[in-house]
Amino acid sequence: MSISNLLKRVQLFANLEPGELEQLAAICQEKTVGSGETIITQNTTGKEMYIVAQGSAEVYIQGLSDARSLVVLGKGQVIGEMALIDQGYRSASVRATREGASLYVIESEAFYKLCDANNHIGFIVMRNLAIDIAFKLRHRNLTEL
Amino acid sequence: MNEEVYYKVSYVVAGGEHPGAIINIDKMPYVGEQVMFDGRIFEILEVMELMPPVGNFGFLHATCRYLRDATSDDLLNS
Repeated sequence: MSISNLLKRVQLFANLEPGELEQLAAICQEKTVGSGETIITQNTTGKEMYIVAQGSAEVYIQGLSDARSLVVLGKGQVIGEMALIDQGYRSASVRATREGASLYVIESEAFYKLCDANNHIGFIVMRNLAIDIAFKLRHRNLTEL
Repeated sequence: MNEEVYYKVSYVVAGGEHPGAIINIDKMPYVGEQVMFDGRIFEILEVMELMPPVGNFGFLHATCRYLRDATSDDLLNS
């Protein structure tokens, strides 16, 4: 699947114009990770977010004695977006699942530069990000039942 | 206008032995469908709307149950 076809299936970028998706595609870098390979390490700083193009990734929290799996994120999901917003430490670790994962990486500096240049992209993405966080919270609540 | 519709699906595994998954798909999931994530095959038991749709995205929740681990053929065909 081409990057344009993937990006229009990513809810974070829903309602962007085709030309705006092309601008986003221009700042995406491809990355492939093998089975079990670490994508994000908890409590480290990071300046990029990832989009899962193929395969999936497991989000987990490493405690003092053991690790607790939180969710598996598959095609079209965004990983590491919180650090993009608050510039804080990574709240969890993420690793590729058994099938590995193909990712697109978006660096925060390039992303903010694009949002500054086109405020419509910034508005839409931030609104969609709020929806994405609400969705993840609802998913989390259902797994606690 | 024939706008494409996509679905963001929250898969929750009955019994709590797996944390579940979130995946975007092109077709609405249905009861009895087999889905693969985390190297395992699950069967969907129930589908419901999790949040109202926004634009061309639907937000769904699917309860499913573990069936088996995926084979190398499953992984290749995914």
